[in-house]
Amino acid sequence: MIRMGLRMLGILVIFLAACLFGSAMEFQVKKRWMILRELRELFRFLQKEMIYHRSPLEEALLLAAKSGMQETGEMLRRIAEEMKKRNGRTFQEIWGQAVTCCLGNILEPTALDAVKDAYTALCNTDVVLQKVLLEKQENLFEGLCRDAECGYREKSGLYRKLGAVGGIFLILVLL
Amino acid sequence: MENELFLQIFAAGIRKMLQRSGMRQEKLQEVRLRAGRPLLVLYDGSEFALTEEGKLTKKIEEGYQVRREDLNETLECVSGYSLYAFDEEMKQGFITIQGGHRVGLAGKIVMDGSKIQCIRHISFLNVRLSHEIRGCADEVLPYVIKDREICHTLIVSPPRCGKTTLLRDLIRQISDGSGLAPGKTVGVVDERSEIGGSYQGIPQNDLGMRTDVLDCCTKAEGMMMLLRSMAPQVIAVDEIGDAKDSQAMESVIHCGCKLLATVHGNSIEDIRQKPLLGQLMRMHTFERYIVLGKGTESGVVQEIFDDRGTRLYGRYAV
Repeated sequence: MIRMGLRMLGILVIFLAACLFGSAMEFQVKKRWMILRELRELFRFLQKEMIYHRSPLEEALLLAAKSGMQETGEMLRRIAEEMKKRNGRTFQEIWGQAVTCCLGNILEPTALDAVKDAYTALCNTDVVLQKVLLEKQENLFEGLCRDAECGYREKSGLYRKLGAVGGIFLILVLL
Repeated sequence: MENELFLQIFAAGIRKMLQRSGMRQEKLQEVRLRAGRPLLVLYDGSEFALTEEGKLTKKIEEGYQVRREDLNETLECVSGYSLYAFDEEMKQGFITIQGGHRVGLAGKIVMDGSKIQCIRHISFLNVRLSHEIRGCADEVLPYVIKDREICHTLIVSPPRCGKTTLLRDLIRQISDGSGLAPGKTVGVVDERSEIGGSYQGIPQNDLGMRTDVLDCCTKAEGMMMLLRSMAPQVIAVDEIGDAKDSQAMESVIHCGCKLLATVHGNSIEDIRQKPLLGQLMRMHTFERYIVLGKGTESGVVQEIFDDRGTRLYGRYAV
């Protein structure tokens, strides 16, 4: 009886672990989508701050960080702190390093490169070109966001089912 | 060079060269960056090129060749990575930074009809350091104050002879008060941010405790705004010249305010020959004329006259 009970417990644990693993994979894909959505909103917000309010970039980033997710908020705060130091680093270096550090493990390589290249829209010595780049960047993130959403909707159910099926398979193999 | 705040505005490479040069900041007047040209500095009244090793040389061709990347990085540092936020100042051709220093810009101008829309492809920077000399007006203050009241004063000077430096210290001493007269409320119209060197609205130079500053405002409009809203006892403006300035100055005087102003000129005779200023002189608008001349220090006062042309002070006795 005890052996039977332990076996059932074991089966349950394996099944739950497999389902959790599937959910974790789903969550990763969802997070990717959420981060891209947030970056799109961030660029919309920064566009308003920069064009209409003329807020210094450091201030605008700190303001945006307050309402962001943990990863994007952390990234923006890090960038603002580095900017404040005025130690001669270019904005490209500061932005690139912060993006790699905070979003490197979450985003796919193409999306990560697109985010890294976004520095030209935020800090540019040609103010006319900067306005054009800000709009372009927002549209780019809109596209990436849509792709990530499609990816999530396709894969979320699949990962959960795979997790459950994997768990059952493992149980059968062990039995 | 020790002042970190000042060095922070330059690209990393140029910063190192300036640090290695051993120049003293109080003697450094200008740093000029031109894309594809040698890095030049105006130090202690003379022009030098700065080499990559940080040496000052009279041989201009030996100077470090400024790259476009250096200019872009310097612009990023000058503007705190937010050049767009200085849109309005850029239209005037300069940005004032912390410390009151001015960074002049030149490049491709984009016009909107007859107005400047913006500057693009900035390829030339002139970093002009602000040097406050407290006490340089000590010599002239007794002549500008009569019976504990300020006289309407015009400072006449050729370019780069310290008229703004002198005006700045006069404003400070009049505002703070001295044994000669109590402190007065002073309004300053600082059209080109040269007097106060305001950064984000706060004057970086000491203009005294009773001074209000209108930064980047045209002189004529600024004088009227100050009269209407800030109840000044004294109004100070730099480099008067046109008819609008002249009309505004008359309003200031008629309202009972005292006026401190500066003008470009080599001598009193020079001013007398200018149509508008000559007219003001004939009307005895100004009670004191301070004439500056070239010398080894800023603000070398050559002569002081009253409104009748009587010489009250002369550096070199006749």
